[in-house]
Amino acid sequence: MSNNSKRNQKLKDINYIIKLLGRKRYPIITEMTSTEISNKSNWKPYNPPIKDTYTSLTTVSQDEFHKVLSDEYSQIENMKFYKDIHVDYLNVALNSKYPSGFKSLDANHTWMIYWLVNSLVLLKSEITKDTKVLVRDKIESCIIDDGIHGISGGRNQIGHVASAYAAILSLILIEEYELLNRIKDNLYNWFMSLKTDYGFRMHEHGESDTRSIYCVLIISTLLNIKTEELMSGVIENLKCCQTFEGGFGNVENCEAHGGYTYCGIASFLILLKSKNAVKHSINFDSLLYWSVSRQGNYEGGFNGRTNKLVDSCYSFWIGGTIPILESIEENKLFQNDGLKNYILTCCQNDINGGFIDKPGRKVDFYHTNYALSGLSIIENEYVLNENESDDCLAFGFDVSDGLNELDIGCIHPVFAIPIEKVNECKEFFYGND
Amino acid sequence: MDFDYSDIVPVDLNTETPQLCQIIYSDEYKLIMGKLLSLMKQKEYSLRALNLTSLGIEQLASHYTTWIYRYDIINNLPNFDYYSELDWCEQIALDNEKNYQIWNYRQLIIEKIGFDNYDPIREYPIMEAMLDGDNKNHHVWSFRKWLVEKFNMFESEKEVEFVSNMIELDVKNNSAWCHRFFLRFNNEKNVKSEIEYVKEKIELCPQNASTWNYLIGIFEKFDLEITELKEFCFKFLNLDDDKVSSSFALETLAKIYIIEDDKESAIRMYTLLKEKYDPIRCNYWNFKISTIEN
Ligand SMILES: [Zn+2]
Repeated sequence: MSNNSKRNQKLKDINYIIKLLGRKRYPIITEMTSTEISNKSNWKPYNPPIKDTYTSLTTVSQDEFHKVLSDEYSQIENMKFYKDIHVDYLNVALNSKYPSGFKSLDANHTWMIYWLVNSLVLLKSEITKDTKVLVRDKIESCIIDDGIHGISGGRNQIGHVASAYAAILSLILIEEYELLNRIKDNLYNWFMSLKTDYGFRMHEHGESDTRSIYCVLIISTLLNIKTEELMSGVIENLKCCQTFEGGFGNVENCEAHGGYTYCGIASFLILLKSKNAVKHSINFDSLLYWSVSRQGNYEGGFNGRTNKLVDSCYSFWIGGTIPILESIEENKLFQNDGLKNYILTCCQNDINGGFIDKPGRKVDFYHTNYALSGLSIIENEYVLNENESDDCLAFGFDVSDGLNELDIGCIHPVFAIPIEKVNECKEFFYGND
Repeated sequence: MDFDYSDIVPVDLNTETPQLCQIIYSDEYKLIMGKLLSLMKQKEYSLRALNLTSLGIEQLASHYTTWIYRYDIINNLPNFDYYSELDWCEQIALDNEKNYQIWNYRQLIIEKIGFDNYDPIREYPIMEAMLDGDNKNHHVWSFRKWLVEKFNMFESEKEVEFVSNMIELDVKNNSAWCHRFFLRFNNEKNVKSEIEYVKEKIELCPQNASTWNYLIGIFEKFDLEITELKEFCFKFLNLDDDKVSSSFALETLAKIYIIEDDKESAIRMYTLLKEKYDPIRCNYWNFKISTIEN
């Protein structure tokens, strides 16, 4: 038996006994299942010797935030990763019934599935046959007329491009290709019905932005339904969304933002075939500058906009751009240790599992998935190949090895699911050529 | 006005079991949303349907389906009062700070009224109230940008005054700076005065990425020589004493030295950033150094 499965067996035994005794179980499990990270982190929270006497709402909340982080960082000697506790948390989360207060997630059923299943797969936890059936059922309940009217965020709701994105990724995670194959042509027509001169409406009467474009591009690439007609005008529009700061906004002339910047740059890797083409389609230097500027000297983690607080979900929205930017520039550009410290020390719930946005907040599915995805990015080593035969540059991502002491799966920086799932899907929809 | 909904059979809301992530809805929610979605399926566009969407949005303002349906309803109601709809929207916005469906909806309503018939000043109080609660609310600033664009408010003194006040309150409010960039540089004539304006704000608070990005942004947009900023940068550093009040001044100086082909000084700036004033970006500064050396 491998160490891992031994640990799992032991965990199960302990769970069983403790449930039997009706005692609180987590402290014991914590002790036995965390992965201790070897003490070679060369990063520490740091305050540059620059005096800043100005005060405003921004500086006050920044100072308070630093105080909280200083407590977090001083308490912990070595980083630990509580993988088994997270797996536990995710399985419970997937199979729980939620009280009525959770109605706030009622338009996000496909998202909940994606966040939880993607996290589980990243943690290399097996998705059982029974669970796969339930994932399929849930997603199917959101597919409207075989995709003719799209995919919605919940049964009997209206089609929504972002809900569809989460749904398609969930189906790929459980290898449900037949269903995908059945609906893909209808989805194409649905996208065409949402097409504007330069993008895609998120839904009927909705607006087009970098996020809706990214979602359509991801789905249509994975299912091999992209056409020139579908893509027309999109790249020109995306270029306009890059701001004077360097990042991308939702639409032209709006503030650069981590989420939209991720959608923007990822879209270029779908639309283009070479690193050089990406580099010359946008102001690459200013994008690079803006992206590295998201990391805080004291925090280690990333924020999503200039002068905003750090938040763990940007571990992926900005973190996802690390392999993209670094492989295009062919250089190491970010400080991964800082990010790892922020996620593991400040955002990890080591008692009940899951991740938070920042200290003081509650665990949620969204931040759990994007914190884990960020960890995956910095634990793995990526290469980006330019393959003539590939439909787009994004398919050229591969994992070399990396240290990966957390033993975490390898997320695809563009498609936001593990690389091996992208490859399987590609094989199904494009064949081996 | 009371409406009769007794004839409507509510649709199921994710009730099948077993089900992953099942929400156990309250009876009230089940009834309202069940009947709302049922009416929507039948494409009923009536006052009672409209009322039901109000109740639905009270339950969950982020339910995009309810907003889409509501818009379809008002499109089909005769003599609908769009202004009272805007009033209603405002209350919902105030109760749901982070909601964004509402701003898209508001755009649709204003479009419906017609840009020629609508006075954009009517939007000021609600935007002000919202930004009062969160001065960086991305949705509200996006809406504001849309408004300026649609109503061609680039020359509006009120708008400039508003954004100046926001900056006055918090010079690190990046959203305000981005809005200002959009507002002021529709036209080249403001370049000089804006450079003076932002320089003043940099002196007020030198360690501020928002203002430096704004300054450098102007130089890039209008193809100006940043070497002109050399003297200005030296206001924020005394290298003999190793005193620096802005890491951004160091960066800008490095760029200037590169243009002047003074490689040694540029590398010295980047090394200071790497080792002392901005070490989190050490890999980036190393990369910058390597591009100079090659
Ligand atoms: Zn977040």
